[in-house]
Amino acid sequence: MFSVAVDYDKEQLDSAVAGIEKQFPTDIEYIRYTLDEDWTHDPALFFRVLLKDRAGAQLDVFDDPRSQAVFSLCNRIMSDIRTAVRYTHLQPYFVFRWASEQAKRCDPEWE
Amino acid sequence: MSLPRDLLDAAIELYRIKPETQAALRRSVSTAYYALFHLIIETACENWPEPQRSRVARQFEHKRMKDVSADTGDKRPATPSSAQAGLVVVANTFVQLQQNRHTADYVLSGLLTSEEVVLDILLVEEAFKIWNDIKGEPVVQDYLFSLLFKDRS
Repeated sequence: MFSVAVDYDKEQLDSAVAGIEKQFPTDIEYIRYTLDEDWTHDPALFFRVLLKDRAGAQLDVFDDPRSQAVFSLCNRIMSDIRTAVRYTHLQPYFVFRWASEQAKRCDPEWE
Repeated sequence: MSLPRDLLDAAIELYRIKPETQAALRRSVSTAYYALFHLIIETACENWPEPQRSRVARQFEHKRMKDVSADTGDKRPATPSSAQAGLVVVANTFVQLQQNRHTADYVLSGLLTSEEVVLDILLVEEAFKIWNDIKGEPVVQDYLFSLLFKDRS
């Protein structure tokens, strides 16, 4: 259970996340985040990035340009989020998921 | 082949064997993390001859490596050199994979997706390529020093 008191401006953080969503309008469905402890009990931000499905895009094989394209996109999103939340001094972590995958799973954490 | 490269290849093979099973996905993420963990340690230990090398290799701690790596990512300069920029990528990947390895090995409440695992492996593959180019740079040697010792200067 998360027990460390962390001083951060939620409005500013929400605004930063919304800014990232606007930067990738054709790629990101939405971003959710949770403030929690990482495995070392340090406070951290856990981002869940829901990606829009696109024809031909995939990330389930290696040595494939389609996977490399998604990998590059994820890298750009992670880099931009890291920059946007650096002021919080909280460690960001990331998980990506396709919208179609979430539609199948109906995972409440991702809604 | 070196142990780190063999571990990364093993992570890929574990994924390919049965990507529909949580066992394969979880072992793959864990193995990818250890590939990067041992890559960094291997480079650091090149600075010592045997028999000290093996003893030094056992001094690295996951938590300290995470703290130093997180600090490296957090304090990157506004206009980094290519070596500094590369080190930040490797350090960020290390922190991310260490957390993912913990989730893969101990947090069984959720299901990993194959996309998560492939992304982790691609991150580590990229880190390997970058590391090969920058590992001799002074900024990387400083990072390796910090993984083991507190800087009192």
